Amino acid sequence: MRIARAALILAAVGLAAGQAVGSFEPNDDFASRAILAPGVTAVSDTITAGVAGSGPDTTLAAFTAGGLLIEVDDDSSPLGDGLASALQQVTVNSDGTIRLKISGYPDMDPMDGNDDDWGTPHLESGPFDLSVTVFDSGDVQIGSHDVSASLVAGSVYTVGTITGYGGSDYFNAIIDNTPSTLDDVMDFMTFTSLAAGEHFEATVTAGTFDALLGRFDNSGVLIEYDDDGGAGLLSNISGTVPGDGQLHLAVTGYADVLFQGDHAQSGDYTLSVALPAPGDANVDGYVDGLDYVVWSNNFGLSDTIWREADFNDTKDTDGLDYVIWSNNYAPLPGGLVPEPATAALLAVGAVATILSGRRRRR
Amino acid sequence: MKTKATKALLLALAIGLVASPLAARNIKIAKVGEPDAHDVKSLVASVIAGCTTDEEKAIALWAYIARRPFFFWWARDHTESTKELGFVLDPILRFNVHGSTICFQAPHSLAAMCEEAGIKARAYSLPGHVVMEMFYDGGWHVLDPEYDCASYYRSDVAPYPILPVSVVRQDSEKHIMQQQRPSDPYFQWDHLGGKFIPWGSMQYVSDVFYKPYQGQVYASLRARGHTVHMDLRRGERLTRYWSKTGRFYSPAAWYEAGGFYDMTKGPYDLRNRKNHYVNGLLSYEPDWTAHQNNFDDGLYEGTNYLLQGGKVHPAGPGECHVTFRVQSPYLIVGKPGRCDLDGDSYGGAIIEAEFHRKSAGQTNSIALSVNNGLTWQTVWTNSQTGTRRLKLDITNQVEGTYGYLIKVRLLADDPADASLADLKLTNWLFMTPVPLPAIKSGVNRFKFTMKPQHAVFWMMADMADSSGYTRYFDELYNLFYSPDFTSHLSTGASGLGYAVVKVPAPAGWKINSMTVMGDFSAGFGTPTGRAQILYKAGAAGKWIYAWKEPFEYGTHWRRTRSTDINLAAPADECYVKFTLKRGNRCTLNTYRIYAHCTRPEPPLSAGSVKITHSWFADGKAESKTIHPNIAGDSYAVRATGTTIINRAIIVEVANDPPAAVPGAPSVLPRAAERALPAGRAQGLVPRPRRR
Repeated sequence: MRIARAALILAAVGLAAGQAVGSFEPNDDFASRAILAPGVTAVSDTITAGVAGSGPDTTLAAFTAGGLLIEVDDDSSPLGDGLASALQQVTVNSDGTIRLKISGYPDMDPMDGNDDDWGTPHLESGPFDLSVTVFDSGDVQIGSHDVSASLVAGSVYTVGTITGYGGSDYFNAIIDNTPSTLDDVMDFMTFTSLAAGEHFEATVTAGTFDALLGRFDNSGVLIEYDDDGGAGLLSNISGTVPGDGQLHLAVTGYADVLFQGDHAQSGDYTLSVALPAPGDANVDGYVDGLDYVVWSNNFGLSDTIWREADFNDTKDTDGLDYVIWSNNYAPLPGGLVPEPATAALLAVGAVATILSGRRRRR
Repeated sequence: MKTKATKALLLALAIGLVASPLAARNIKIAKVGEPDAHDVKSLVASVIAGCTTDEEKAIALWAYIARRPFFFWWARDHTESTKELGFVLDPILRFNVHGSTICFQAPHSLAAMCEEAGIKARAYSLPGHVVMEMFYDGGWHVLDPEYDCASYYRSDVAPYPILPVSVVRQDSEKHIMQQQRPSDPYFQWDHLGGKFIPWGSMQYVSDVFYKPYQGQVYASLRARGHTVHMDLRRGERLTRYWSKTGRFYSPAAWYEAGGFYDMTKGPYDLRNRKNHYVNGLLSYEPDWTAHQNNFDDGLYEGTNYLLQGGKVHPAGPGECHVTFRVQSPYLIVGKPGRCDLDGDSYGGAIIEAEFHRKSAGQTNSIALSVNNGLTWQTVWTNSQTGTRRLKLDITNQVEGTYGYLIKVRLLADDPADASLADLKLTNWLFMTPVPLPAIKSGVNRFKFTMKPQHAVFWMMADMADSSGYTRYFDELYNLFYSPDFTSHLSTGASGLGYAVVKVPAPAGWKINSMTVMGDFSAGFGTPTGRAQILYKAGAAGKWIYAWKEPFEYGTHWRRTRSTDINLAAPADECYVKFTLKRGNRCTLNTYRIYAHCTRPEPPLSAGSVKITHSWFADGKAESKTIHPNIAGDSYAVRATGTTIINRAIIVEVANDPPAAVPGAPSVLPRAAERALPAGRAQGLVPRPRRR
């Protein structure tokens, strides 16, 4: 089911273009990430807290034709809120039937509608989807069956007997206990066709929740994450665009630092990827006096970053960075001074002051 | 007939009683490029970042312990008490506070980290030693994080996987003594030949731990939930020193005379005494005269009080009190006095204040609670009249905790007849320096974050309180104090029982998430007992299972499990339920609940947070002070010199300055006004009693 969803999404987002696109759920893991069209540099979307317990805590059991328990499961389903059930690779009954029952935890003994320990009716209720997929002994899918129903507290839902298969076939049965809601605890996306080798600034520029931003490699391994590097509780990651021009990013909520969807944040956000011009320290689209101020404030420091005017990624903010700023000076018309000529004088003064201070310290 | 002064006080009552915006902000300073040990999620994520295989993750997690100078010390954390006395397992407590690794604790702390990383882990009890096995790539692999004998053992057959205990034991001479691809570190103290502790020797480990007979597998005890949550109020300062002042927690029950470890020195490294615990200082000195916010920011709760001219008065006849909360991510400690005696600690927690009572008909008193207000102990009652300055040492009442409540009672019919002013709270803290954001030679980058309105409070049962343990539960069904296992709750005849704990957020707070730790015991061998943890939001909510997996890997009586709970919506109160099903044995030993909340507050103004790093550079004292952007900031500190010795890192939140017009009543933020009923905002109705 997830693969199908992902395929739909990949097809859909291929159509998207422009500076901002809307939501494209589900893209809650790396495999189902949204591949953004070339030219898309900003995404506005929403995430919703992932909370276990929003659906019924199901139990699922398979029985023989004679009513004997084959296997029972509680929370193995990859779908839903973590409390849904699944059976994997269960052999079809010798009479070619599949007989399933669904109940609520902790009714697992097997399936009388009552709590196994206390004998009281279980308390789980709510809608669910059941998907049964049947395979032959050569692992070729030979059938599928979908059920949408609702579990009632204290009761057992008996799935209609599935027939027509052979005793050497096997089946998977998977429950989604939150069928009416799409998973939207995280958004994974890939920005494409970015200029390789250029500096990028990926920033959650607006948001109504405490965001976490993560960057992943082409295998989906988390490279780095940022919590509050942007404005307020928003996030920022910077670096160099890799050779394939792709940036794999994900937005989740604090404190889901492992990007497993484990958080309690919900809200809207905008994620922007900017490739600022050399010299644009504050990433406002202009190389101007404000950037010079950033350079001068950080001049002489090492282990600095782009936003501290290290434009050539030498981990230092030095005269070469000033030269880069100067060579790319392109302010907003009517914008702030100083211009490079004036700034050069200021820079000389700054250097002299710093060197003077160093001599005194010696 | 009331005096003019009284009327003025009543006027102030109308103005000053309209808000109690207790501070709630999580301040965090992390050093860029180093593991972030503020909470277990951040710690694990920062440690395994960049790892591409499960083996790399396993080694990175192991190396976090094995490559840092945590040392041998019996870090204790009493499982049945609200005070720290037993064996600490929570990794954040271990690595930030106690700083120690010993074999029967380290695998469990590491297991909690593995759980966060999605790697299954188990403890393996060898003769005289405990190691850890992690499950990945389809098999178990032994990684020993113990300080003395930190190591893992690779196969000499490609692709050289890390071996399980069962294989190492078959030929320990080959796999340990003749290891071809030794880990880093690999028996880092072995060159000392067991000079200090014999089990630091490779040969000893090979001969004794892995040879004679098979060990036993048992479940790791996964205790977690503690966070380094710095909730500083206006007027509060946290100083973390890289040096010690002789303050550590050493109750008499912990003391062992004549051992190889000199316990009177406090925790230290046997091999290098410069490697030791350090102290911190949490100092709270609100300026109530300057601004109402400085009072409101630190008030936990209160009733029938008013603030005027920087002094708290009773608003009228009847019960009047104000309560303040001390909360620390580190252990509160004093100088222990004689380590073999209790009750002689001092210099760890000090209350200073100015009190006034006109005559014997009025009352001033101070009471303390170390259990969120369930019980109170009156520690001082004013026996004098007039105005006096108090300096009260409460070290013996609060040492070994992470915080407490101070309730000041002021009883008088006339507001002018009793008062409290110039409150100052001083608490010394115990910690390890290992994860502190240290200065090194060169440029040091730090990241400052602050999460406004984020607060945390914790609950823990004092199961050693045989007469009063029931107060820690909202409901007990068929659970009784066990005659066989004292201070544990066991099920009655039916074998089924449960305990419900009410988690009440302080007034105005909303619970967003919780980490619940349950400590259970079950019989040896394959456990036939079972325990579960459930929760619900509000009394009418539906019970939801938070942890229900069966106990795994028998052979140990103690079972500790932790579970994270994210609520679907913020709640005023929650309930946590522990259900027990006894086989041959199943008891509830204790619980700990960490509730993460939001709490409305007046925002801090720009520049009100100050961070100071201080260090010695080649013997010369240096410091750097930063006023970070409170919305989040990063900054760099350059240190020159070849020998850098860190001195302290200080974080403080400034008092708000006086209002612009001298003498004018302070103005509340609009948000706070709007949150109140119209009548209260106008000062027309008295302040309701709060928890």
